[in-house]
Amino acid sequence: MNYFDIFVIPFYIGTIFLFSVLIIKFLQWFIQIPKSGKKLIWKNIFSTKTLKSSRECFSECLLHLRIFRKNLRLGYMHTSIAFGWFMLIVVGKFQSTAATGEWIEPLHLAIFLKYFPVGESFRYAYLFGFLMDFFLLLVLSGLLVAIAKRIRPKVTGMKRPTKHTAFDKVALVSLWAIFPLRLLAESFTSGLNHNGHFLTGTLGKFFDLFLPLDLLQYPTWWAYSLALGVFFCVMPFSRYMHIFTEIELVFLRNWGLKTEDQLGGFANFELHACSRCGMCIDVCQLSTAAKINDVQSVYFLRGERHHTLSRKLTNNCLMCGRCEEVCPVRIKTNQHRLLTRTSPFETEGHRYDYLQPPQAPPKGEVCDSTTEQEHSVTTAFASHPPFRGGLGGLSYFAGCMTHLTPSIKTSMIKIFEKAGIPYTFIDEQDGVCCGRPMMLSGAKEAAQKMIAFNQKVIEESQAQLLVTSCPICYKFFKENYQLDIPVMHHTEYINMLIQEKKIKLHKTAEKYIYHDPCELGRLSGVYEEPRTILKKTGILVSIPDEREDAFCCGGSLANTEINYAERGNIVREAIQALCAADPDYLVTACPLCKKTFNKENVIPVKDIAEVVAGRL
Amino acid sequence: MEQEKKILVAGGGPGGLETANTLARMGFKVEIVEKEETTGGHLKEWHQLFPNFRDASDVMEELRQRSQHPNISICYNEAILDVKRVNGHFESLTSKKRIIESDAVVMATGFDAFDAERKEEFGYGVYPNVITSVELEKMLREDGKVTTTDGRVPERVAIVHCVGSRDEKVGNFYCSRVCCICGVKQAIEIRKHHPETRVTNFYMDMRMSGQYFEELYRESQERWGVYYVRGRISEASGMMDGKIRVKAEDTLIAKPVTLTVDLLVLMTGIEASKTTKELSKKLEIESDYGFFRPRDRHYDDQHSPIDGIFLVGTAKGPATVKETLADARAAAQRVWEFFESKNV
Repeated sequence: MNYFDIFVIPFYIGTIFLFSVLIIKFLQWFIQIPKSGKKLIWKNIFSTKTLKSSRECFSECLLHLRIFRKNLRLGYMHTSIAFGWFMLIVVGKFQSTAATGEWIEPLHLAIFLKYFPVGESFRYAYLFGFLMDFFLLLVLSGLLVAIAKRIRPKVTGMKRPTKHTAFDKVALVSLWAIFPLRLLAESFTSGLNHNGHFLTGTLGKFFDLFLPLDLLQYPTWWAYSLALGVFFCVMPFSRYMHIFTEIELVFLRNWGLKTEDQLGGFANFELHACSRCGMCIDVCQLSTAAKINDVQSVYFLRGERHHTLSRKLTNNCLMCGRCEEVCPVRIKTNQHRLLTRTSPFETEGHRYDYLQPPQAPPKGEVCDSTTEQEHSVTTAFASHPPFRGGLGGLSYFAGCMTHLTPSIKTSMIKIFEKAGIPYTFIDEQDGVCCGRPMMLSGAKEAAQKMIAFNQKVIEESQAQLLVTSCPICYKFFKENYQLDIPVMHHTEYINMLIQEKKIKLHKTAEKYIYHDPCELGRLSGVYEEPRTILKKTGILVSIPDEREDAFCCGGSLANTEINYAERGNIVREAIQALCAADPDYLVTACPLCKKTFNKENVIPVKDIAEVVAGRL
Repeated sequence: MEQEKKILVAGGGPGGLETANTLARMGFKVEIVEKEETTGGHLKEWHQLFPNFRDASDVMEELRQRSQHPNISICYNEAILDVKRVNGHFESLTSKKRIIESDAVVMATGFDAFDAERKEEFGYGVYPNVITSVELEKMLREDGKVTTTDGRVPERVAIVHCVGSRDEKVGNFYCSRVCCICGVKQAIEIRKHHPETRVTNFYMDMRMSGQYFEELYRESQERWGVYYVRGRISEASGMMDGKIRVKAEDTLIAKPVTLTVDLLVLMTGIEASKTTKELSKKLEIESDYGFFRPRDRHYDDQHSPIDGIFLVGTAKGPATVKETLADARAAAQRVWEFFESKNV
C-alpha cells in the first residue's frame, strides 16, 4: 500500500534539520567538558545514578512534578503539553505498527497515520483511537492554559510572565499552531471517512454538516506538516531547545558534573535547558520590591546563551539564590553570573601591595615628616601582629562585617570565655577580608591575593578548627580555601557547645523571628542549628517565607548595580514580611543582615551570638 | 505699635527665641512652647562657639534676657503635637492636651543629633571610650577636662567626621555643614586643655565655607598641631586596655591605615528632630529627610506652603547659630508682612 504523500516533506525537512543540529551541538558541548568531567561520566555511567536520572527525566521532563508542587495550574500546563505530546508520539508509533504490522516503517506514518488508508480493522484500533484523541485533548487543554497565561498571567498564579524575543514568539506561534491543526486535519479526515473517536469523530461529523471537507482536508494536512517543520527548524535556536537539553542535563548532573571554574561544556547544557518559564521572576526581590524586571535569571541566561550579556544583566543580582531554589530545571545561575562578571577595577597599580611581605620596615608615615613621629598613623599590615593567646586550637575569624558590628564579636568572646575554650583571635587586629566580596564583584585576582594572605594566617595560627561569625567568610572558607581543618559558622559552633554541655542557656519568654541569611541558609545549607539554639533561649515563631524560601535582607554585597533607594525597598519588603508576626526581636546569624535591617530602625535586630551571650 | 495678633512659636531654641524676641518688639503677642524645662535648645549644651571661641552661654544669656518681654509668654515641658487651621486662625494641640489658638504659627522645632548607635561599626554604645561630639562638648563645658571613662587624660584622640551625614548607608545624603568646623574647634580645645594629647581628624572633605572657618582650620594645624587624615574610618574595635583601634584608608596615599587611640569622638550630624519630622509629615509640608519645606528656597524661605505657618532655622535643614538667628529675624519680618498684606 502507498503510505506516502508529498505533504510530509516539510515535516521531514524539519526533523532532519533538528536532529542534525542537536547532534552537532551536543557533541560540541560534550567535547568542551574537561577531562575530569569526562572521567566522572565514565565512573558513574554504569551506576544507579543512571537509573535515578531516568526516573528524574520522567518525573521532571515529562510530568514536571517540581512545578506542580509550587504551582498547580502552571504544573498542569507544562505536564499536559509535555506528557500529552510524548504520549501522542509513543501511542502513535504503536498504533501505526499495529496498523501496518511492521515495526520498521517510515517515520511520518506514526504522525500522519489518519490521513492514510490503513482501515479500522487492526488490533486494538478502538483503544488506540481513544487514546490518541484523549492525549490530543490533554495537549489542547494545556495549550488553552498557555494562551490564557499569555493574556492574563494571573490565571496561572504568575505575576509577570517572561518577555520573549520576536524569534521566540515565532517558535511559540508555530508550537501553538501544531495541535489545533492536527485536530482539524484529523477531524476533517474522520468526517470524510465517517470514523474517528470521541474527539475527532464527533468534530468530523459536526464539520461535515456545513464544511466542504473534501476540499479542506488536504490543505489542512499540509498546514499541519508545515507547522511541525517550522517548529522543528526554529526549535534548536529558540527556548524550546530545553526539551531535549533537559534530559542530557539530568543525566550529566546526576553523574556529578557541575559548572565550576569555566563556562562552556556542562554550562552549555545548563544554559540551553532553561525553558524561560519565568518562575524565577516572581520570586526575585529585585522584581517584587525594586520593580526591576529585566535582569532575572531567565534574561541573564538568555543573554549568556546569545552572547548579548550587558554589565547590568551580569551584575544586577543579589545572588541570594531564591531563583535557583524555585527553578524547575535547577540551573545554578549564580555560578554563571560569577564567571561572567569582570571587575572594572581589577589590578589598579599597587592597590594590594600591603598584602605582600614588606621590603622595608612595615611601618610608614603618612603625616608631614617634620612632625613628631607619634602623631602618625601606621600604614599596612603586611605581616599580621602577633596573636594574643595560645596557638593550635580554635582559631576565631570574626570577618570584616563582624568588625563593623562589634557587639557580635564581643558576644562571641564572652561565649568562648564562659565555655572555657582557649581561642586564637586571628583577625582581631589588621584582619584582611576573606575575599568573597571581591570575587562576587568579579575582581578574581584581588580575591586570590586575599585568600593567599588569610590562608597563611590560618596556617600560622596552627588552627585545628576555624570558627567564623560571618556566613560570607564561612562559605568562602569552605569552598574556595584549601583548608584541611573543619570550618564552622558560630551557629554550628554554639550549638555544639550546648550539646556538649559546655554552656547552658536560660530560657525566656522572648518571641523571635529567625531570618535565614542567604549565605548560611540557601547557599550553605545551615538551617537547623540556629533554630535549635533559639528554641533554648525563647519562643521561636515560624513564618511562611523561611529556610529555602527566606528573603534576602537586601544588603547583599553581590549587587553593585542597584541604587540605595532600590536597595531600601528590598530591605523594607523583607522586614515587613519578617515582622508580620510581631516578634520582640528579629534574630539573624549574619553581621551584614543585622547591619542592613538595623539601618531601617523598625525592630530590634540581634545576632544569634548576642542572644546566646545574653542568656548564659 | 500695638498688634492684636497672636503668634505661636513651636520650640524655644535660638531660632524660636529670636523670632519671638523680634515679633514681641513688633507688638505681636507671642507664646513659646518649649518641650524641655528650659529654653535654649542645643545651644545650652554647648561650651564655646566657632570660629571665635565665644562662650555659648553669652549668646544664651542675651537671648533669654531679650525674651523677658511683656509680649512673650513661655510654656515649658510641653510640645506641639498637631496644628489645625480653623476659619483663618490656628488651633494647636499640645502634649498637655491644651489647645492654643493663634493667628500664625512659627515652626522652630529644630534638629536632633544623629543617633551614633546607628553606625555600629564605630562602636558607640559598645565601647565606652567612643563618644559623640555632643558628649565631648559637655566635658569641655563642665570643667574643660577631657578624660577617658577611667578618668585618664587621653594620649591620643581621633575625631571622625561625617557620622550620619553624607552617608548613603544611613540614608542621609546631605552635608550637615556645621560638623567640619566644630571638629576643628573641638580639636583645638582639646589641645588647649591638654597640650600632651594628640588629635587626629579623619575626614572626607573639610568644608570650611563660613567666614573665618578656613583660617581656623589652618590655625589648628600650624599653631595647635592637629592632624588630618583624608579617609573615613571603616571600623573601630575595642582593645583589652580600653583603647580603640581604628581602621581607615588614607585616600591621599591609597593605603589602609590603623591608629590606636584612647578616645574616639564621633562628629554626629544634624537630623530633623522628632517633632520636626512628625509635624512636617502631619501638615504635609515635609521635604527630604523629614525637614520642613519652605514655599520658595530663595525668595520665601521662611514661609511654609501653608499660609500663616512660618519656618525657622534647623527645622528646614542644617544651619549654624549665626544663620539661625538671622533666619529668625527674617521670619519675624515675614510674619509682619503676612498680616500687613491681609490688612490691605
